[in-house]
This record gives sequence, structure tokens and C-alpha cells, in this order.
Amino acid sequence: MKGNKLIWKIHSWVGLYAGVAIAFLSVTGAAALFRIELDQLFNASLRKVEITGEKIPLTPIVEKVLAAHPDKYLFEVELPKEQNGSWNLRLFPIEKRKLFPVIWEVFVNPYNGEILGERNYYRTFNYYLRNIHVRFYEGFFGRQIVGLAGLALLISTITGFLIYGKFMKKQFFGNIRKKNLRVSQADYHKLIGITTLSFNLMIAITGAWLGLQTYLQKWLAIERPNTFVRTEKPIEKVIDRDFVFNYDSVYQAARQNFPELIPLYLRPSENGSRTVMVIGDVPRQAYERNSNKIVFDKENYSMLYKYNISDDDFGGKLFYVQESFHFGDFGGIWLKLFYCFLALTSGFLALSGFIIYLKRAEKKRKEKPSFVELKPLLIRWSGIIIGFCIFTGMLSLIWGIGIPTLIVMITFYGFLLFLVIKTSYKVIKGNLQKPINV
Amino acid sequence: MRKTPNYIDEHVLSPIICLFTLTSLIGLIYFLNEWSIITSESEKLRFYNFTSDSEKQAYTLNVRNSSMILLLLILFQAFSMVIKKRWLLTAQILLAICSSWYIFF
Repeated sequence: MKGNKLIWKIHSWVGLYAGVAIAFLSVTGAAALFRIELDQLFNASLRKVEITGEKIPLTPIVEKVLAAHPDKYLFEVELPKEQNGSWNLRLFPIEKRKLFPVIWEVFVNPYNGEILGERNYYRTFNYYLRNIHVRFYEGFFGRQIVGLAGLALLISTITGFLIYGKFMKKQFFGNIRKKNLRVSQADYHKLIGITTLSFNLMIAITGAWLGLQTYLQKWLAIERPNTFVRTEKPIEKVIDRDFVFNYDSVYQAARQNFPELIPLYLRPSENGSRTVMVIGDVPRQAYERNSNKIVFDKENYSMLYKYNISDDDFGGKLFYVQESFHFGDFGGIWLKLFYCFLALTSGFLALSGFIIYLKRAEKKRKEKPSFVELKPLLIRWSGIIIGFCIFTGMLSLIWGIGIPTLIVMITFYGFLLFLVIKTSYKVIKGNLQKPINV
Repeated sequence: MRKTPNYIDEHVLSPIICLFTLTSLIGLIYFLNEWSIITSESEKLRFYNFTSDSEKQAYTLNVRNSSMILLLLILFQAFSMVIKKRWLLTAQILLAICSSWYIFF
């Protein structure tokens, strides 16, 4: 009995304090599922081309694009999966500016070499969707904060599961009582929470892992399974960055040495290792995209390393299901739509939990001068979330990542500081007003 | 329903069944997507690198069987929710383990 009460308390407190973050992440996550599809839809002129015969060689195109951008160097070439897709040459500026970072994308028609358009990746809607979900646009610990929200969802889901039976009493599964708002919301909360149990568990575990990955990998001494480091550095960094080689030969070598691989990225080294990585997917795998790879020497195209997730052990496979399971990126568009629906139900759970709490505590809350009715309170919070998304979205599309990140960080840490000062002031004031017993 | 010794409390049964059902449903959608790629001869199929017709047929059979197993599991899970018997839940768990073994290995 005592144990149940404690579990219920944990469930309530975690939901109350992390509920807004969970609701925010569920909505942004539902949108982020389709970021690639939306990018293709909104930028069809950059992404789609007409198929007209054979594709031209890639190497002269790389040279042409680099000649047109002498202040940049090639980071990678993104190859299309579909025949009617364009090449995307992604460039980095030689002189990097911290507040205005750039990944310059040049889209090229692979059938005639025509440049279809150029853009800064950091100013795209695609990047905005990813960044707002993955790190709230917070530059320092955004990813970790999201990871902690995943942990909160995990605690909330497990505690919810444990107290479910106790709260159902003699009520049947799926029965919704219409007695009042609190009761009906509580019934919906239980029904949806239990129905989506496996999804929430999976999203919480993978989300917590992805968010806290950097630290967890360090603490648990787990290295990314496909890591390849060439210990000897045969050339200088600058020479490596500008090293001219044949991209088509590398592509052919990848097809020959790793026929199962669908090459999607060609990424040359810039650290003096004189290598070029071919990254891609292997069909019939439900693992993280772009994680199979093969590495060649830039000079003689000899194979240095090959990684196929299917050949790895259980640990490696487990590592690469985290992202694909989290984003539903393994079963086509229908699975993504299903994930989107399920993601929104997680948001609903946070919202209904919030309503249940507010209704239950209404009597006590009414005694306070700061009391706000439920409806305006929900409108206010929804307004804050939507406003934040629109505000950061506009800043992101205008200035890229730097300025919105800076503003979010100042606002976030400023708010935290304000809370600390306010609480400290209240504590000190309370202590001063206490009568002194001599 | 009369509570026989074999009866299982709905509040224990429903979370476990829901857990199984949603997982099976996600798996089913995955295999249906694979099925649609293979049978529609879509452009994506060129990446599958089937070296022979028999290899393609074997994969098609595997996808079809896995989909059928998952579909049957979902129906079985729905049946368990109605019947509410402990032995059904035990059978359910055993079946889920066997099916996972077949699908993954």
C-alpha cells in the first residue's frame, strides 16, 4: 500500500515537472519524423530531376563546384537513392565562423551537370525540425536535457504501468466515465497510457540513450561500432583537404568491394589520413541509416576498412537500432504515419496528466491569489510552446543556427537564474521574518 | 465471467497484451512495407541485390510468413483479452518468444 503511494507520487511529480518537455518533444518529434519527406516536398526543384539517359561522371562536377567556391572545401557528396534524385555537394567554409556556421549545399542534376540551386543547410526547415526536437536549440546541454526528458518519460511509463491496476479498481479496460472532466481525462490517460505502453517504453529508452549517448558511451567505454581511425597520417591536413582524386573510381570500388551497400555519401578525409569513406545503407536492414561503410585510400583506392552492421555482434546491432527505432525509420511511410500518431498520444498523456493534477488541486489553488482557471492556463502554456517553435523557426530560417541558439541559451539560463534568485529571496525573507527565540 | 482458478485479472492482462499487440503491429507494418516493395517491383527493389530468383523467393516467403505470424499473434492477443485465461497469457508469451526467434534468426 505504502509502496503504491510512493510510486504514484513519483509518477505525479515526474509528470508534473517533465510533462511540458515531454509534450513539446512529442509534438516536435511527430513533425521531425517527416523532415526528409518535407524537405523533398518543399524543395522539389532542388531534389528532383528529369531522367534523361545516362548519368555524367561526378569528378568533373566536384571540381567545377569547388572552383566556383574557392573559400570552401568539400565535406561530402550526398548521392540520391532514386534515379530521379539530384546530387548534393556539401561544402564547409575554410574560415569557420562560430556564430554563423555554414554547411553549403549545392544541388546538381546528375544527367547534365546543371546546378539546380544552393543553400545553407543550417537555414533549412529540415535542420530546424531536427534541431528543435534533438536539442531545443540549446547549444551546450540541449541534447542531454532531451535525454533527461527521455529518462523522465521512462520513469513515468514504468510507474504508470505499476499503479495502473490499483487505479482501475473494478473498472473494465477501455471504459470511459463521463462524470466530470477529471474523471474522463483520468480514464483516457489510463487507456492511452496502457495501449501505447510498448511505444512509450521504446521511445523513452532510445530517447534517453540518444540524448545522453555522449556521456553514456564515455562512462560505459562503448565506442561507436563503425569507428575507423587510420593511425598513420601520410600527408599534411591541408594537402589532404585539397587532395584531388576520382570520385567515380571510389564509387565503383565501393560497389565492387561491398555490393550490398547502397552508397549514399562519399566523404573525403581532412585530417591527413588520406582516406575517403563511402557511407550508405544495406537493404533488408532495420538499423540506423547511413551507418554501413567502406573506407578507401584516396591515392590508390585500396580498401582499408569495411563495416556491415549485419556482420557485427549483438552489441553492435543493438547500438544501431536505437535511432531507427526512435524515428520509425525502418518501415516506410506508413510506419512513420503510425509513429506520428503514437508520438502525439505521448503528448496527450502529458496534457491529460496535467489536467488531472490541476483539477485535483483546484481547491487548494483557488486559495492562492495567483490562481488561474484551467482553460486560460492551458492556452497560455500551448501559446508558449507554439510561440517558441515559431520564434526559433523564424530566427533559424533567417540566421541559421547561431543566433537562435544564443537567444534560447540566454533566455533559458536567464530564466533559471531568475528562479534561483527568486527562491533565494523568498527563503531569506522567510528567515528574517521568523521570530527569534531567546 | 465466473472467476475460475485459471482466471487472470484484466488489470494484469491488459497491459501485457497491449504491450505485445502494439509491438506486433509495428512489426507487421514493417513486413507489409517489405512485402509491398518486393511485390510492386518498385525502384527500391534494385538495391536488394537478389543474386537469383530462388533467393528472392526465399526472402518473399520469409516476409510473408513473418507477416502472417504477426497477424495471427494480434488476433490471438485480441482473443486473450476476451477469454482472460492464465494459460492463454502463458501461451502468448511462449508464442511471442518463438515468433521473435523465427523472425530475427
